[in-house]
Amino acid sequence: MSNLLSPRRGALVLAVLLSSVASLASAAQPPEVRLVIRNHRFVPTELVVPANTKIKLMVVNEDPTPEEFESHELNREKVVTGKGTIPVYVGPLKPGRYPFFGDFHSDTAQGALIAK
Amino acid sequence: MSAITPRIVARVLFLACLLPASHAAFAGAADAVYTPTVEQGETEFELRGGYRDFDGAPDEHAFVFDIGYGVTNRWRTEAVLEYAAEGGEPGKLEALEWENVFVLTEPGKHWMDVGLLAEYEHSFASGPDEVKFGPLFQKQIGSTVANLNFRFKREVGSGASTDTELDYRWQLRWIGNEALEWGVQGLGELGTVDHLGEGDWHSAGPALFGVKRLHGRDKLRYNAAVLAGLDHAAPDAAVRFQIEYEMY
Repeated sequence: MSNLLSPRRGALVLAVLLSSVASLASAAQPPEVRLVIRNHRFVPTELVVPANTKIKLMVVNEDPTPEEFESHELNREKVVTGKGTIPVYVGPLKPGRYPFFGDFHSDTAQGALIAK
Repeated sequence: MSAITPRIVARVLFLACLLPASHAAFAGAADAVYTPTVEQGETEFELRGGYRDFDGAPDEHAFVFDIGYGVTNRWRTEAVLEYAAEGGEPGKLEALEWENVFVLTEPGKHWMDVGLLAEYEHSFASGPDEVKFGPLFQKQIGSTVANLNFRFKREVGSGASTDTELDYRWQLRWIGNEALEWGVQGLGELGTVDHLGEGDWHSAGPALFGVKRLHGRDKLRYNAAVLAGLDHAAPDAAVRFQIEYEMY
């Protein structure tokens, strides 16, 4: 692999890569789905979302205390403040069931995305 | 923080290309792969280490202990203490480092997640300190999460070289059983910025990852890898591990 890169070429490739990423950022907005946290529970507990499509989950915390939206299967972990709203982008998801939970109140805050 | 776009990071990297080249700086035995993710309010205690075996050269091992905190959901800061030894020599504390991870893009929103690593290392030995920075990339395709880090390293202070070196780390992780996931990791050096490809080396190998949930919201996160050298200049074999205790 020695001498594969001419002087500065590798770092310039990085710069081009990032510029390309930035240009792709103007893609169409994904469909938005609302998920509410109320009395330390998710409402609804199951959400059906289109498979193979990026989704924007709007997590609305109606409780006065913070919660954390967490899902190992979705690879997401994000705190939402009391009375706050956060976007959580997931997908594209293959058809299936993707559990999530509220890490601050995991005994009651349980839910799942159903991609179909 | 939302004003730092990938375009800005690209311009910073372009300017880094113009920095005069440097010497020294290589991926240490205890190096890790970073992800552009931060948990606000999380305190973490981390221990990582590694051993490298070289054919015809002293082996080396290193340990790193650090304490970190998620200040916001876009910035984590850590204090890092490094210990290392070479050959059969006694190990010693090598450096104290201030490390920062910045999340530049909303996870999952764009085609790729982008972050930035920025470090300042103060060496306990006489000699210059070191500044390190570079982009962190993450891309998820289905149940596969790919990460790629680049790191520019440059000495600062009295006696500092005018060179800037570039190294990299990467990993693939397949999302599965939370307690034990498989993947691959790799790392290497690309040489100095104005002589890329000269003195480079590369290694890769299997890795495993996992999370163990403890009482309350605490977690134990771990990963380890066995890396084989892919060219003559690389360590013949290397083992590395990382354990993090995360608490709120």
